[in-house]
Amino acid sequence: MKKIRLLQKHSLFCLLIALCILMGGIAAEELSPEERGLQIAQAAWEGDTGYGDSISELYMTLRLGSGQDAKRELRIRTLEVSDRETRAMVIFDTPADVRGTALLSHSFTDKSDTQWLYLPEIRREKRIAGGGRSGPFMGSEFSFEDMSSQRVEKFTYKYIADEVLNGITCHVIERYPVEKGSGYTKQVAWLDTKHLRVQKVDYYDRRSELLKTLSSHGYEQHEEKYWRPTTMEMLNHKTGRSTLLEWRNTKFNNGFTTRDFEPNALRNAR
Amino acid sequence: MNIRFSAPALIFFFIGGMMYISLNATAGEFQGSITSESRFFPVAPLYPEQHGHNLSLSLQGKYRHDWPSRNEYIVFSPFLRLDQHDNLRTHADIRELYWHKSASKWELRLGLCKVFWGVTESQHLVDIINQTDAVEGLSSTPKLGQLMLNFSWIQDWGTFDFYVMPMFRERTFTGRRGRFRTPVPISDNETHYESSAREWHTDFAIRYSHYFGNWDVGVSHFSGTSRSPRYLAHIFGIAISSDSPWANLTGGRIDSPLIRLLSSIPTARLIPYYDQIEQTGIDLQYILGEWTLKLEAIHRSGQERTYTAATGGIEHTFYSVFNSPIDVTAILEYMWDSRGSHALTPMQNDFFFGTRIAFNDVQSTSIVSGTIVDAATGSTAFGIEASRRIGSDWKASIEARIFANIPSNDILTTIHKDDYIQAKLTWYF
Repeated sequence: MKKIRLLQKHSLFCLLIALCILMGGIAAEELSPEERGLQIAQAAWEGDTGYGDSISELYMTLRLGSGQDAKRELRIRTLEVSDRETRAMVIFDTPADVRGTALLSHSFTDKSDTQWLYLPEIRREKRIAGGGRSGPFMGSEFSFEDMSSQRVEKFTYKYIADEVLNGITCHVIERYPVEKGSGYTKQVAWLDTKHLRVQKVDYYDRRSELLKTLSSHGYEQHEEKYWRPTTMEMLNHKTGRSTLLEWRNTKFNNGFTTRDFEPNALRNAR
Repeated sequence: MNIRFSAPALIFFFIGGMMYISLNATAGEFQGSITSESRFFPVAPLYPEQHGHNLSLSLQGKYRHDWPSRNEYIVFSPFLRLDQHDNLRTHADIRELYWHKSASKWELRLGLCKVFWGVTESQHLVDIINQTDAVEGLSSTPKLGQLMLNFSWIQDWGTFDFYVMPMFRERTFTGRRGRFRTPVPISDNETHYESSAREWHTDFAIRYSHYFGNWDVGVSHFSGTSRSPRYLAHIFGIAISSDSPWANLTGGRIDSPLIRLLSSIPTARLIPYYDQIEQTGIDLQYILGEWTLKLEAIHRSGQERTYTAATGGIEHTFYSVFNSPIDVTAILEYMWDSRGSHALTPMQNDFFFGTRIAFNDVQSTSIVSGTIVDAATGSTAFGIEASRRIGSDWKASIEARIFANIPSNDILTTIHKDDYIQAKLTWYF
């Protein structure tokens, strides 16, 4: 009897363990769509961070319809300061009337961005208030929001499905902006399952209507790890206008320090 | 055409030109802009020698050459204006010509430089390093290049800037035939200084600046030649000096009873007098969401009686108004001066209301307006400017300025007939 009991006890224990493992396994497989969406976003972010610093030239073509184009050239420098903070400096080269103008932003995970605008004519760096993130960036189809860093914390997520897009298997996730100043109610993003690179994003405006679609192409790998697109095209479905963004001469490990991203460094930027 | 150059300007132009030529052979490029300006004055002028319409052409250049491995660069920014009627407005200046070196904890600048301090929009009280190129106009406030040695000591907890300025630049003044002039012409050939070293007095300044969370803070002190002059009356070959009892009759102001009396005497003229002053300034800015709070205050001694002046206000931007891409910024500021009606400035008890409408379109169309109203007298100065880019290398703007309700004892009375409409076209190269 005793032996049986012991055995029973033992098997009960085994059963419990097996049950735990099983339940754990089920739990892993049965992540809620929200958790799965967040997991994908986090993995994509982690695969994309830790690069230290970067510098890129940006060529924008604003397609205004009827064959008219407007061009903008700018340079972007970024620095990862910590897990919580990223800094970016944008220097405008054309159009000529804004030549030398520069924008510095310190982005944080847990608070709103700090921004300075540099006006070369009077050599003044001006701290600017937040907001206006939904407005167009230099008259293009990209908003300031689209141009800023897409940190994980800026959205809540929902996994929708896996889907083949242009021959590439992608996770489709919906993301909902957290900040109330956002111009969007929803974004639907296609990330390829292999490298979690954003292939396409649909943007839904405040009335939940499809407003814009972003397509990213020509991914190149840097430092044997970081994938960066060479072209991004934003199409506005309501106006028919589009903006082409070309990234060139992206370089990492430039030895930037926080000091290069302070407001008083703006006047030395070139 | 009579182009006036002061001797130092000529020297620097020569050096600058040589530097430009020698460097141009190696690398770098010269960029800049050429602007044509046409002003129309609808009201008949106060003085017969003034004109109802004026054309002007200006050139602003910039050359920069870097030595990245040495963390050094030089900048050369010349400026030239040709004016149809006012031979004093036809002038040249070197806005910048300096050598810059930076290290991890410090920066050094040597040469003719530009410095801007402050946060407010209606006026810039704290900003004192560079002389105002007053002949340029009322709306923009271009500054003359200031010769200096500027050392910046940069720490995590803020930046200290030290300035040593061995040479003073006189303010520029409108000539007899130009609009926005004084009743009695100002003669800068006979400028008086408190310092016996005259324009070669060495001025010093120090400034601490940093940002803390949503705060931007600046504290500064300037010791040296005042950038804004008082005016002495010069009549029948006699200058009424600052220590004579007569000097007080002018009150240093261009609109004092004595000066108005003098304006009827053809040989009379005003002579700028530059005091030695001590000025402490503070500038603060606080950002709260889409709101910005601003304050600038100064305390100045050495220019007649000691005084305090301040400008403070709020700024708010309404983004994407009515679901359009248009942003509208509203600014309300108040300007105060402890000297009251004895102030050398018209902004002693005045409100400023400004708006900026940014259309955020491909041509960066914007409309900026500002109204200054004296709280006591109701005298009003209103200005509006609309601008947009044309293509990628051109920019056009239209500006209007109107003066209303100017009482005869207001400094602005000397220009109250100078309402104007201006069209500008700029080409960038």
